[in-house]
Amino acid sequence: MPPKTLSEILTKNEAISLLLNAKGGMKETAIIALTKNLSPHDQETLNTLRHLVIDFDDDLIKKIAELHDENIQLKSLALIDNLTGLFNTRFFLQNLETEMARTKRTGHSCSLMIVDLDNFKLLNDTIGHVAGDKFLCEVGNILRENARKTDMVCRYGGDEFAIIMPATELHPAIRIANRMNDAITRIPTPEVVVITSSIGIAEYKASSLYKTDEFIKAADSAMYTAKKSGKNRVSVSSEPAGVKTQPVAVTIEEKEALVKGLKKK
Amino acid sequence: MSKTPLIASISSGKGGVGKTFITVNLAACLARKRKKVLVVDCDLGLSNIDIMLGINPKLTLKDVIFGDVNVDDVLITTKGGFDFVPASSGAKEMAQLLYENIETIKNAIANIAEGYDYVLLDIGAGISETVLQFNLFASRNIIVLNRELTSLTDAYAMIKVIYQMFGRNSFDIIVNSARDEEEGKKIFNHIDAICGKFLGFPLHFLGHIVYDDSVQHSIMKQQLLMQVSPGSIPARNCVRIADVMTRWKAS
Repeated sequence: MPPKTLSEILTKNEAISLLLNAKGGMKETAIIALTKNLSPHDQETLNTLRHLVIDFDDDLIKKIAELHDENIQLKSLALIDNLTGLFNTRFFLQNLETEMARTKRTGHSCSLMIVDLDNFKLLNDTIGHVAGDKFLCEVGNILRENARKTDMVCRYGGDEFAIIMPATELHPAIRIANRMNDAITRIPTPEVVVITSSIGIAEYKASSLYKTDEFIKAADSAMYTAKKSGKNRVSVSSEPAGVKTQPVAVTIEEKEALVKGLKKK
Repeated sequence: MSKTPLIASISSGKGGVGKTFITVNLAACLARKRKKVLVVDCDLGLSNIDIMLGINPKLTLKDVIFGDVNVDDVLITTKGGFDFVPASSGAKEMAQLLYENIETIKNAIANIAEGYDYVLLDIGAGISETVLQFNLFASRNIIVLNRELTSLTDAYAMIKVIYQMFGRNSFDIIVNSARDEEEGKKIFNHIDAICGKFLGFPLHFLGHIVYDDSVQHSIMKQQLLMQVSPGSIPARNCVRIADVMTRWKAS
């Protein structure tokens, strides 16, 4: 069998997984990692070519390395919020669904927190958008610092943040929310505007009937309750997740039976 | 050896049915039977056990929630031989508690409950989240009702909601202000039949309490019926109910 060219081996997709860093000045550190299912023949060929890869400016390697980097960047662009470096809405929606499914499977509740800044528009108007953006980054850091390793802190639109808390019941979620609420209040603001936060929390239990959008809505409406009741506070979705809370009214039949039966006596 | 307390809630749905009267007098009966009893006023917005007991507590559950007060400091030992945790009346912030505040109270109760045989929770009227949470916290749910139609429908609504929300299907019924034992049983049988028919489970008859002037008299005097008129029929009715409760097993 004639030895293959490097290109031939590298384009044999199913056999290769690459980790390359052969760009620009780093070309000497080019590394090629290959899966085990590369045939001995391919491996041998590659070995004979290895020093060539390092010593020569191989256009193919360069191209692959560039593509690889671009891929990583594209992936992160799609899931990371540009400004704050937190996860973005897309990541949030994907992972919320996953966590809800996990709750159903494991039986452990997960909680969702929606954090909305109070008076942020006023701050933005006062100090300008650039400083406002900086403030948002600071809030992002505060949320990340006060969250636990397993929590997923996401930016959910303008000055709103969403935090997915796997395997977390309402009570510990409230504790963390209070901590975040306190910390946000302490971020120094350059002007007289005081920025606080209104936080809403909802719990998703194994018995919950919520769909993803209903679960978000529950946390969101708790956040609005916090806002309406005076801001700078934590509020909890008054509906235990998925349970019909509108207490099921006594039906007409039941009422009639209750009233009639007693009158007879 | 630490005892496991039996936590029982006393609620009615409708107000003015006699929950508080029953709670304090049952507590006194149990105390007489050498049981260690704690009564917690869980009618957080409009509490009035203190009025019924003729005491004027300085510290209340409000201070536990919003102040830096330990629940031990709120605890009062009453003339009836039982301990009592008062709430405050007319405090607006207590009427609409956040979930977290209710948790604080529940934790506080759980912390001091050890060592008691019975913890009786006197729960407010209505079916608010607070009312439901305390019912869920208790291991036995006593529902008080009387012969009024509105009391009957509210008691039924209460049972139905607790059943549908938490899956509970065991309730202890006290018929208050009955004319006699026969009427008490009749009223119980009536609501029991409707529960069986529409919800599919029977109720437990804990007992009846007859109404006579001694009840009003003790309330006006701000004293326990068990102390003012221990020989009266309603007082003896209370003793009988307490007897049944002593046979309950702590869960």
